[in-house]
Amino acid sequence: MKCLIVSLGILFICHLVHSYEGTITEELLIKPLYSEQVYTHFQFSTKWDIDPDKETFRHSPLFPRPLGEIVQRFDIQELHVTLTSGLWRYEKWGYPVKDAATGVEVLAWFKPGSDVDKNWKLLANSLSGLLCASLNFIDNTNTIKPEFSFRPRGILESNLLNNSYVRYANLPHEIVCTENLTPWKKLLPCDSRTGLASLLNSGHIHNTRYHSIGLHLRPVCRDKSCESMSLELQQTVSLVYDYLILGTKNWSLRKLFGQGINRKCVLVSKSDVYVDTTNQDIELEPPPDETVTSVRGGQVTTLQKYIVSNQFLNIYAKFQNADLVSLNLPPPLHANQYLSGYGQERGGIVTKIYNNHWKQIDVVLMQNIPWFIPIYLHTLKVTADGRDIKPIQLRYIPARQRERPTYLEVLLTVPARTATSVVIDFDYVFLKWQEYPPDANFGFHIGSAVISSYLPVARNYTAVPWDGSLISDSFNASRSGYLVEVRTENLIITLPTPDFSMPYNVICLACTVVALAFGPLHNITTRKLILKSKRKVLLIERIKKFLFSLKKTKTE
Amino acid sequence: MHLLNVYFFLFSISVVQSFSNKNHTNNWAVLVDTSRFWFNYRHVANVLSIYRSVKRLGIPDSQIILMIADDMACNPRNPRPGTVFNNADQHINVYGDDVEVDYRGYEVTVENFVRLLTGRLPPGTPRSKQLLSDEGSNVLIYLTGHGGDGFLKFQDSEEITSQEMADALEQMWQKQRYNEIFFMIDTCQAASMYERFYSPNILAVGSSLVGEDSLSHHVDSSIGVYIIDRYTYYALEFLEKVNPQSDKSMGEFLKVCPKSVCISTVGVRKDLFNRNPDNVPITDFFGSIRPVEVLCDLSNVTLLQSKQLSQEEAFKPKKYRYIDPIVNFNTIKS
Amino acid sequence: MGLLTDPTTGQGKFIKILLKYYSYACMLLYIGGVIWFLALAYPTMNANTYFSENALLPGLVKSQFREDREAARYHEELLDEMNKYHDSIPYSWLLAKFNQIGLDTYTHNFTLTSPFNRKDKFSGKNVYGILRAPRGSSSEALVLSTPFRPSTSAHPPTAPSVAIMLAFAKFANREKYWAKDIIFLITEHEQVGVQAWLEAYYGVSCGSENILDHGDLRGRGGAIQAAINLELHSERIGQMDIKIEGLNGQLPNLDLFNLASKMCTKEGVYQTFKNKGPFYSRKPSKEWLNYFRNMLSMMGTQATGIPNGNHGLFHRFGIQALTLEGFEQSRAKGSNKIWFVGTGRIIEGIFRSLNNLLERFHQSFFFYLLPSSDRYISISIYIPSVCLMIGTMFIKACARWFKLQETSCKEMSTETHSPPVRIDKIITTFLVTHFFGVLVSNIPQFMSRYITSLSVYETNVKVFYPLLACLVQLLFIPLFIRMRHCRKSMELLNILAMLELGTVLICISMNNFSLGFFCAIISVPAALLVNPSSCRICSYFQRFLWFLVHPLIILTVAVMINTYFLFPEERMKEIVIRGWDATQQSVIFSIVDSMVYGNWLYGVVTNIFIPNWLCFWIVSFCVFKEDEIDTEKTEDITDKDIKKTN
Repeated sequence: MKCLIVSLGILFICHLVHSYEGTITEELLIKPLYSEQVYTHFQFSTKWDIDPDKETFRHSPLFPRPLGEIVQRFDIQELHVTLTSGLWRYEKWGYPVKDAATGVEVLAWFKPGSDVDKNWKLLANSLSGLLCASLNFIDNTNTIKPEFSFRPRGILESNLLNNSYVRYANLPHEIVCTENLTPWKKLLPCDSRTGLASLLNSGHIHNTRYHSIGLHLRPVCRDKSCESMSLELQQTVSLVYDYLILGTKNWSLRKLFGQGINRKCVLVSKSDVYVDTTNQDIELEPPPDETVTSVRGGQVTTLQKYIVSNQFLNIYAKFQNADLVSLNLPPPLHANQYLSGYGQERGGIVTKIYNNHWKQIDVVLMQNIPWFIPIYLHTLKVTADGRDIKPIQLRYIPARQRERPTYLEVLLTVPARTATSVVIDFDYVFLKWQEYPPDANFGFHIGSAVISSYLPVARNYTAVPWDGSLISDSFNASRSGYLVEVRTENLIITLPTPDFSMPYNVICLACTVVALAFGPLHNITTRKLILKSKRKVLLIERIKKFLFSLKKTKTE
Repeated sequence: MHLLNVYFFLFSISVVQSFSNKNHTNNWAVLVDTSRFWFNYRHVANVLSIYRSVKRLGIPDSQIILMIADDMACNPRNPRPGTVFNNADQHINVYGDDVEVDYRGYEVTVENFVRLLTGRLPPGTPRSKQLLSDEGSNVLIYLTGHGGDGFLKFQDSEEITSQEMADALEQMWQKQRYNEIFFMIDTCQAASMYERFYSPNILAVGSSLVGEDSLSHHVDSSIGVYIIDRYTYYALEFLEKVNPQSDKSMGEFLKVCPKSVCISTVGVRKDLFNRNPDNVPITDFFGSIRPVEVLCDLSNVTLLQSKQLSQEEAFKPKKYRYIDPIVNFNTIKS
Repeated sequence: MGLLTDPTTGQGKFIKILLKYYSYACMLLYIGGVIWFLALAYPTMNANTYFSENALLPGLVKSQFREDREAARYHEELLDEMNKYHDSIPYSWLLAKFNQIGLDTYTHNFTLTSPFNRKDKFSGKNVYGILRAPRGSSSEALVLSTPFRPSTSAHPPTAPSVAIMLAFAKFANREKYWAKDIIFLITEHEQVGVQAWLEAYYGVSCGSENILDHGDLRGRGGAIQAAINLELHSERIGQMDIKIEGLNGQLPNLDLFNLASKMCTKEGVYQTFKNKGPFYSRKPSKEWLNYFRNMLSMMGTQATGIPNGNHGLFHRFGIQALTLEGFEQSRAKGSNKIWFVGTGRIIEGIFRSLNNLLERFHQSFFFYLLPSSDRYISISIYIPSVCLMIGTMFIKACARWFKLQETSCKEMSTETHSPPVRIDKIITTFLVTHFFGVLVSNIPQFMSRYITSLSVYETNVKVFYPLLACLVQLLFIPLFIRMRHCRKSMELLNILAMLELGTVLICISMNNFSLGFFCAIISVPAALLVNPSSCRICSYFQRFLWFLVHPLIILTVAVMINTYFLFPEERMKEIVIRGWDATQQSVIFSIVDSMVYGNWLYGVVTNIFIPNWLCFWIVSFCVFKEDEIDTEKTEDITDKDIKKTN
C-alpha cells in the first residue's frame, strides 16, 4: 500500500517536471572581499516559457502560484521587491550583484491600460500578506514615478517608455527577519529541504553585516531570436559575513550557513557554486570541478566552480598567507547622505557623490523625500571642489502635505576625482497629534537616495547584465557600459515632538485663558453700567441689608 | 495546452469519540504582543512561547494570527541574532526557523486588533491577516504587554479598555465568529480585562488579579534584559509536556502557576463557559486535531471530460527587445 | 476682572492698594525670592535622583571587558610617541592603531583664524575612527571622545584616556550587539577641535564668519545621540568627577548623569560632582551648607556660559554629553582605586545602556540644579525664586504707570500745565542707547581689524582699552539729554527700562538660570531704588549705587575677589594688578568665545544690559523741581471730579 502511494507520487512529480516548460536554476557566488568580509549571493531563477499576457496562471506547476496570481490580477509587467537590513558599504566592498537600500524597496511596472494607482495599492497589500512585511504602509504618500532612474529590465515590444506606469516606493523603517524569509523560501520550487536553499538557516544568515532578500519578476526573451516572451522569477539572497563575527578568516559552508549542501534539488537543471579567488591566496577543499576565468571590461576575475550533485558538499577555504594584505581600490562611484544644520528650525539634506574615476561620469540622482520635510528647490546647490555645477536636467514634483512626497531627479555630470555635494534645504514642521508613531522620539526616516550611472569600467563589478539571467551570464560579459544603482544611507530626522503626556494640562490651561478673556468681554458687551453714588456704608446697615436679603430668599 | 491526467486520493473523516462537542470543527489562535522597545523583550518571548506551543500542537500558520509590536530576534541589539529565547540558558529558541508574523511593528494597534476580531477589515486585506473563523471555531486569544486596571497599553501610545474588549467579543458572538473562546492575558492587573465580558462560551485566565503586578521571571545577564514573564514561563513548561495525543485537561492548565512560584495570583473566569474545564481537553484550544482515518479499500473514480483547448491563435511573430539601461543624456528634452 | 477695561476710567480697589504699598511689596518679594533660593538646598525642597527612562536598564548586563592589558600597552606606546611629538598630536600612530583595530579611520583638518589679527592662523588635526554597528545601517551613532594634550599642555594629561579608548574600541569591535555606530574621537586644541569637528559633521558655522574654518569630514555615522568625553589623568583612578555644564549654560539630560553616576558607583570608585562626593551628616544645617555650596559652585560655572569640558559643545546639536574626569588622588580617605579594567567596565556599562535606547533622551529633566550627585532640583522648584525677584520690576513698573495716569488725570482736572510728554523723544533716547550698545559690541573687532597701526600692540591693549574708552564716554550721555529734568518723561523712561530689564532677566533665566539669577540678585534692588527724585542727595546716592552695578564694574569686582581667593599670600597691590589683568583677559576671552563658539554672554551684555544700564543711568540724573504735582499722596478721585470732566 505504501509502495503504491510512493510510486504514484514519483510518477506524478516526474510528469510535472516533463510537462513544465522552462528552466529552474540555482547558483551561489562566494566572494571574499578585501576588507575582512566575505560576500555570498544566492540566485534562484525560475523561467517559465509562457506568454505572460495570455496566461491565466490557473495552473502553475512549479512557478509559485501566489506570484502568478499577483501578476495576473494586478496587470503587472515587472516587479522588484527587496528587503534589506544593514548597509552595503560601497567604498570597501565594491558593487553587489543587486543593489538594495536598507528597508523595503518595491518597484513595479504595470501593463499599459490598467488602473495603476488602484493596482499599486492592492499589490502592496497582497505583498504584505505574502511576505509578512508591513508593505501595506505603501500608498500615495510615499510613492513616486521616477522618469530616468529606473528602466525596465525586461523586454518590451516598443521602445516608448511611459513613466506613468511605473511606481516606486521605499519603506526605510522595515526590518527583515525570519518571518520574511519563511514565506520567501516557500516560493522556491524545492522549498528549503534540498539544494542550495537548504543553506538558508535563519540563525546563521541573520548574523551578517548585510542581509538582503529579493524577488525580481520580469519578462525575458525565450530564445535568441526574441520573438516570444518568457516569465522569469529571480529570488536572490545577498549576505556579507564578517570574519570578526565568524571568529576566523578560514570560512566554510558549514561555518557560514550551519551546514553543507546535502543533495541537489531534483527540479533544478543547473546548480552551481562559484568561489571568486581573484587576488586571493586561498586553498579550497574539496578541489573545484572547474576554474573559470572571466574578462569583463578589462578586469580579470578567476572563479572556482563547483557543480552540486547528490553528494554532500562542504567547501572549506583556508587562507594561505595571513600576512598578505591586498590593496583595495575604491570603486569608481559611491555616495553618502547626511543631514546638515542643527536645531529644530531648518536643516539641509546633503548627498555627496564620490567620483574616483579619472574621467567625469554622468549620473542620475533620485530622491524620494517624505511630505513632512518641505524642501525648497531654489536652495538646491551642486558644488564640487568649490565650483558650482549646473545640473543638466531637473525633474521636480513638490510634495503635497499628507498626499504625496517630493520627487526630485537631478541629472548631472560629476567631475573626475572629486566629491560632489548636492545640498537642498528644508524646514522642520509640526505634525498633527495622530501622525506621530508610537516611538516618536526615535525620529522619522528619510529613505536612501538612488544614484544611477553607466560606468565605463567594471572594477569590483559583479552584476548580471540585463540580457542575461544567471550569474554565469556575467562572465566575459563586456559591454559598453555597466549599470550601477548606488544607494546611500537612510537618514533619521528628529522632528519637533510634543510631550505626549501634556494634553490634559494644555487643554485646561487653554480653556482657563479663554474663560478669563471671555468673562470680561461678555460683561462689557451685555452689562449696563450705572453710576452709583458712593458713600461710606456703616457696618450696622450692612448687617441689616444682609438679614433683609436672607428673609427675602426664605419667603420666596 | 496539453491534456493533464488527474489523480484523486480520497480521505474520509470520522469523528472520534473524545470529540464530545459536536460544534467544534476548527481552531484559530490570535496571539498579540503589545509592547515595543528592547526592554520589553520578555513580552515578545511570551507570545512566541504560546505561538510555538500552538503550532507544535497542530494549528497551522494559516489559522494563527500573530501580532508582534517590535522586532527582537533581528534587533541589532540581540547578541544572538535570529533567536528569541525563553530562558537565560538558551534552552528553547521560541522564535524558531519557521515563523510567520502577520501584524508587526506599527500595525499592532487597537484599531487593527478590534477590526481583526470583528472581521471588519478593509477590502484588499490579505488572507493571512484576516480571522476567518466561523461558528465552529474555537479561538485562543492571548494578550501580553503592560496593563493596568481596566486597560491594556498598546505600544505605549494608546490603550484598549476592558469594555472595548468585551464589546469586540460580543460582536464576534453576534456574527457567529466563534464557538468557544479561551482568553489568556499576561499583564499587570490582568484580571481586570476580563471582568466585563458578557458573551457566552468564554473561558478566561489572567496572570494576576486587580491590584497585583505580574512579575518577570529572570534576567539574562548576557543580553541584559528580563527574558520572560513568570506566568508564561510556567505555562510554556506545562505545554512542552503536552503532545497532540495528550489527554491533559484545561482544568490542569488553569492551575499551572500557583502563587508560590508566580507571586501573583492567577485569576480565572469560568461563569461564561458552559462546560467544566476539567473535562475539556487542552487540545480543544491549543491544538488542532482532526482525527483522520485512512481507508484501505480503493474506490473507482471516473475521469472528467478533459476540455479540448481552443486551437492556438495564429502565431504572429513579434519583436521584443531589451531597453537601454540608462538614459542617454544628450537626447533628453526638458 | 478688569482685564479689558480702560485703566483710566477709575481706580479699582486693587490698584489703590498697589499704589500705596508697592514699594513694600517689592521689597518683600525680593527678600522672598532670596529666601526661596536659600531654601532650595534644604533636603525637603529637592528630591533624590531616579531613572525616568526605563529603556536604559543600567547595570543589568554582565560586563565583558577584559582588555586592560592592551590598554596598559597602548598607554606605554603613547607616552613614547608623545616624547617624539612634543606639542602636537601623534596622528600617524593613532591612525595606525585605529586601522589595526579594524575601524574606519579618518583625519580632520581645521584652521582657526585669530579674531583680532587676520594673519594669525592656527591649524589643528583631529583623528577619529568609526566602529560600524555589525548589523546596523549607520543611521545613529554614539561618540566617545577625549582631548589630546601634548606634554607641553598646561592642563592635566589625558594619555590614559586615549589608551582606554583604544582598548575599548578593540573590545567593542568584536561584539555583535551594537545597534549604533560608535565614533572614537581624539581632538586637538581642547574645545576648538571639538567645535570644528561638530561644525564639520553638521556642515554649519556657529560663530562668526571666517573665524573657524571647519574643513570637511569624509566619514559619518548618522545622527549622534549621546557623547561621553573622557579626561582620565592617570592609570589608577581614585576619584571620578562628572562634569555637565555646557555652552551657554545648557545641561545634558539628567538620565545621562544618573547613568554615569550609577556605573561609577557600581565599579566602586569614589564618584563626585563638583569635586564633592556624597555627604551625610546628622546636623541639617551642615547638610544644608554642603548642598548650598555645591549648588553655588554649579551655578558659578553655569553662569559664565563657558563649558568646563569638551562635552559642553555637543549640547547645542541636541546631543546629550558629559565628561568623566578621573583623578588619582581622591578627597575621600581610603577610597577604592580602580585600574584600566575598572574604567573600561564603566565605559562599557554606559555604552551598553546607551545602546539599549531606541529613542533619544526625552523623559528626564533638561533644566535642573544638582546640590549633590544624588539629589536634584527641577526647574519648577527653582524658577519661582528668580520669578519673585523679577516680578518686583513688573509690579513697580505697573505701579509707576498707574501713578502716572493718576497724575495726568489730576492735571486735567486741576487744569495745570506741565510740559507735555514727548513720547518720540523717549523712544529715540531708548533706541539711541541700544544703538550705542551695538556699537560697543562691535568696537573691538572693528578696531583690531581695520586700524592696522595698532597691530603692534598686544591684544589686551588694542581690544580692551578702546572698549573701556567707549564705555567711559557713554557715562556722559545724560548730560546731553535735556529732557532729563522733565519728570514725566523720565518716569516713562524708567518704566520702559524696568520692563526691559524684567523681560530680559526672565528670558535669560529660562535659558541659563544661574546667569539670570546672579544678574537679578544684583541689579534688581539697585533698579528698584533708581527713581526720578526731587532731592539732590538722593539723586547722587542713586547715581553712585547704579554706577556700582555697571557690568564692567561687577566683572572687575568679581575677578578681584576671585584673584584674592586664588592668591591669598600676595600683597594688595599685586592682587590689584593681577586682577586688572585678569579682567582684561576675561573680556577678551568672552569676545573670542562669542566669535568662535557662539557664546552669547558678550553679545547679551553689550547689546542689552549696557543700553538698559544707560537708560537707568539717565533716569538717575533726573532731578525735578518741587512745585510739580506731588502724587505721593493717593487720593480718591471723587465723583465730583468725574462729573466736572464730563
